[in-house]
Amino acid sequence: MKKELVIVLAEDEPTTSRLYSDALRRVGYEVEVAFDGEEAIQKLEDTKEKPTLAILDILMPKMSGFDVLKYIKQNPKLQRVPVVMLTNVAEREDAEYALELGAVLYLTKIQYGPKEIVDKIGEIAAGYSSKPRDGAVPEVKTRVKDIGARG
Amino acid sequence: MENYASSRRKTPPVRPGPPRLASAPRREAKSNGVRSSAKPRHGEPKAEKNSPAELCPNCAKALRDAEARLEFEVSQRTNELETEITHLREASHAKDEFIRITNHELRTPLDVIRGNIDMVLKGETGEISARTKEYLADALLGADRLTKLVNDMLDISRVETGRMKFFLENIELVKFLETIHTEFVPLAKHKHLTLYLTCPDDLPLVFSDRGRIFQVIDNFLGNSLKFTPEGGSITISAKADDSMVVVSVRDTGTGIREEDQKKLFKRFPQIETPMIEGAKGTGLGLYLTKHIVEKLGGRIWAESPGLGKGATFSFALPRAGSSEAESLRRLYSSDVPLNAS
Repeated sequence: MKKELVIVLAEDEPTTSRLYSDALRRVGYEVEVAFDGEEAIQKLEDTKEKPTLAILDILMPKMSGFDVLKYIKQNPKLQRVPVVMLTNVAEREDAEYALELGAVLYLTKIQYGPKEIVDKIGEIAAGYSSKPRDGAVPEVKTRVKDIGARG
Repeated sequence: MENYASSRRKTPPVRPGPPRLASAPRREAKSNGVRSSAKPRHGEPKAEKNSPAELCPNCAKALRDAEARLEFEVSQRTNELETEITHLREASHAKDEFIRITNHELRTPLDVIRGNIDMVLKGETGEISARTKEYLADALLGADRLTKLVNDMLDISRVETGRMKFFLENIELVKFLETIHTEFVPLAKHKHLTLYLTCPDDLPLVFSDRGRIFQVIDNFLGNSLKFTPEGGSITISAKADDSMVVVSVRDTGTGIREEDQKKLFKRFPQIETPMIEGAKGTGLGLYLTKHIVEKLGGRIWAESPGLGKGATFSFALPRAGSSEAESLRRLYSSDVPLNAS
């Protein structure tokens, strides 16, 4: 299952992008990288036949991670894609906002190293149906109350 | 860099300026009990023909002109004030944005440094020698410290300018402290220290911000872990005290000289403490926690019998339902309550 999952990683900082995409590829995921919000949507639309997961940074050129998340959740063809926000914006309001918009997880790079993030993605992948886009999004609760405390 | 905040956070709409400010002085004149001499007294015949307008048409015109000028000037000043308010709001918003962006820009390279070191340390790139591991662990410590400094400075700038948001709720401290205790036990063990928790089961609820309380206790425990030599102990305790609940962290560490105790809660206090290896804080932690506790309607203090005799750091927070809690509720009523469980 794991290897069938395509991960679209939207991150504008090349070194950060390489760090996470390498870590994800090492455990067997197919990773498509995007360097801005628009490219992320393009990549997501290109992979629509396969089960896909999106990892979105927040501060990105052209479209912010929040705007990409909104687009995904409002688009019938994409709305079942689980979205993980991966950011260094450790604000509780932002985390709450992202979860309200439909993100399954809000991870801060401060709290989680690349390896821990790959593990979290694994938890979602494990609960994600093998059929493309019709699986229920698994329950993975972000500890919103801790965000900001350690921010 | 895209200004994402502007796309999702709407600044409160600028209200139209004070309505009809120009007429305010006239309303006041009417209500202050002073009667115009031109106004007829009770029983007197109406004196319409003796009104100033009738007696002196030129004076009336001059009066009308003066009134129009006054109206014009008042509305002009009102407009100027509205513009000024808008500029101030924009400046304040821009400052918030600047802090957020600076913070993001500082954290991005730090995350890359920490992330890459972390991957190598965890053996993702193959086996590394013990010596390399040591060097990298030190590099990671430095990066972590820098990250903490960035976070503390951001929080300080918020708390000092009244921009820190608080999410208040009734909190069961016993459960909360148990979670913290469980979380810190492995860290204490790693440093060969024992971590205790002692608090009565019937501790009253406090009205406070969970995340911020964690931040304060995290800071206290962090200090105790740094300044307590191997084999020592740290005790988290809590007790009810009048309208407050007091939480303390006591350790058997290096202690603090009496003359230094007053400096503790200042920025970069420069206190001479016998150093435990690796012990170095940002110098901002206690300063920040003091501000946070005070904003939460509480107080914070430290006690130590002297060097080598350990230290106790405490804070007191308002009990749920106390008058202090009620004042806090009113003060932060505009902050968004936390809905997440």
